[in-house]
Amino acid sequence: MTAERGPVARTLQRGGRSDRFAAVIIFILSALYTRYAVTFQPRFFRSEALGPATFPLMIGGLMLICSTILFIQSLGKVTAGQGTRWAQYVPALVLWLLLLGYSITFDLLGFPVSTGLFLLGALWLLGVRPWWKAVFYALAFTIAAWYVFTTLDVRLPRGEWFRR
Amino acid sequence: MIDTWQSLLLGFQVALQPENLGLALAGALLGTIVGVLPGIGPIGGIAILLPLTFRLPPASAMIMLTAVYYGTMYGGSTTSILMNVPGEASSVVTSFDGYAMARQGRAGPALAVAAVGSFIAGTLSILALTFFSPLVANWGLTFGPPEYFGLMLFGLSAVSSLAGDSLIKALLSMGFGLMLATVGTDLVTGVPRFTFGIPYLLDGIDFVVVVIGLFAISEVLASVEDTGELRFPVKLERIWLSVRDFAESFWAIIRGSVIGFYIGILPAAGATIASFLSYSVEKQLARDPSTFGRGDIRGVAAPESANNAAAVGNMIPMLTLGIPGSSTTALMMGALLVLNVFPGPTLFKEHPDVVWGLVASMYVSNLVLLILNLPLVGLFVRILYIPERLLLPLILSICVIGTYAVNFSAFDLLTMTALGLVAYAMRKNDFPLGPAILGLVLGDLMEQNLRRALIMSRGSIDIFFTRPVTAVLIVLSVLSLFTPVLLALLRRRRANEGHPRTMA
Repeated sequence: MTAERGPVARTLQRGGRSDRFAAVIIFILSALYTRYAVTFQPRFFRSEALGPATFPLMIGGLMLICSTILFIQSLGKVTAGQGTRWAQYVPALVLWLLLLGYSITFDLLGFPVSTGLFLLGALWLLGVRPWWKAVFYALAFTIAAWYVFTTLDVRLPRGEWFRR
Repeated sequence: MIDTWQSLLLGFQVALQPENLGLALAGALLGTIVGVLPGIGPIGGIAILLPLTFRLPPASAMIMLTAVYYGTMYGGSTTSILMNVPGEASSVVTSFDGYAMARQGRAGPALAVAAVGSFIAGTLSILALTFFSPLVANWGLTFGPPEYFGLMLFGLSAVSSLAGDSLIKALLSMGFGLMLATVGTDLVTGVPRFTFGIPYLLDGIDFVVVVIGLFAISEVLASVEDTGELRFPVKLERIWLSVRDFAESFWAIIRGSVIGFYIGILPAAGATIASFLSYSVEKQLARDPSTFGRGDIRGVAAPESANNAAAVGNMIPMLTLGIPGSSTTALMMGALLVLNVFPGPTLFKEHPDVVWGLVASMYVSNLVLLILNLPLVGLFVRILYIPERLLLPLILSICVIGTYAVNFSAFDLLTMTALGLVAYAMRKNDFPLGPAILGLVLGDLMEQNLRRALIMSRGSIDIFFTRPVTAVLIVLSVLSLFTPVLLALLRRRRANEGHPRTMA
């Protein structure tokens, strides 16, 4: 049984502090969105009943109102005793960083190199040991995926650096 | 009536072409595997498999997607019964009695009744859909832009009011989806919106990129925390349903089908509510309700039938009016839009092969799954033994390949990755993701209909209150937003009276 799934754990997790934080971030982003929307001017005709800005402004308004309500609601909530344990998010965030690196290098290094590196890193991060097992799985999947997808006519990049 | 039969016949001609039959088989198999895979739920699974269908003609693509959808649902109930890990909200109820049965060594009958119940419910509700949807489509033909705007507003507010625990968070999630929909060149005026001068964004953010980022990536990230712990499924003997078991669950299946279908048609009240409702109906009708929760076969038969029937019922508003009632149908609608097929009343005239091919393929997928699953379930269970730490990196890599294959653009990969992080944060803070996907799919259409309506009325918003259907829909939208508030008040009152109620 995981601690997270029970209803009690859920109420504990939903602390007021994280809601307040979320509300502030959303409010700022929505304000920027709304500010950007105001600048949209139709180039050709002005008699249009609904310009390019109206609908985004409606959405922006909704977001500003809702995030304010979320902020007010969060004031009444008590944050769980332990507070947020950032350590529990670290593996997911590191995996995300690896994914970011993978996305950036996908075109540059090409599919085989970037995929191999990403898988090796991710498998190691998630605890696949000893190292040769991680290498084996990374290689096996990269080769299999390359074969399957090129057969399916999906053009995977060979890598800008190797083109010359 | 005769028209409907003829159209259905045309549908079967499309669905039974060897190529499409093969796609249905492949889809059902892949869907079940993805549904069983730990670390990735049905919606994420469909999202990953979406790019596979984009090289196919629309009818074939929809046939494959339907089969995938059915497969993921079946896979979800398998893990729910064997491991007490429901893949999605709609199979939560199944685990109450399903897992209890499995622990008593009756996993075989539990899985079999889930398969048979889904098959019967699926078939009954597809029959209902066959005759129901042309009627709704004809009614839909009388709708103008104001009615459509009202419908979409109702769809969005109904889904938000029922998603998750907090209405405000659901609305914020919906707003996020709508915001994403506004990125790109405005179709009417040609003004670039929210593109930050980046040429890639002029066409907007591709639907598949958003869906993979929001659902698949965030789901993998969220399951990283669980990888340490391996859940071993219970032992499995022969998958078989005895005559006695079948007789016992027969009426539960029929009632589940009827409840599921009607609940499914209503926007937002999808498979989850249907499964909970049918379970509690069975419990109330039972002579000895105390057997429920301790491995009563009716407790598996009813919700499994209901969620399957609801999945079919859900298709009606999506196909006939272009209003998806759940995240999954929103996903299917998004896929149709990508294929340049616009769901709505005219779909039945413009693309009869797609609509009826899809309906016929539902019959076919149902049968394929029944034939495929009973003998193969042992194989699917093996998948449960693969440790997540091996699977998660591979799933991420497949997401990257799938996203890249859409436009062969590295920019899409970055967008997907960024959205994955946003959605992970949303999950961790209990923001439901369903309303976001609905907002994304409906955003463009809503704006277009709002514009057309205001052109009709020369800019006056009276048009939304003077046309009866539109006015009713707008009132319903507002009312639906108050439903959770009322429910919460009721619940609090009940708690104060000192009668703590159980889940069902």
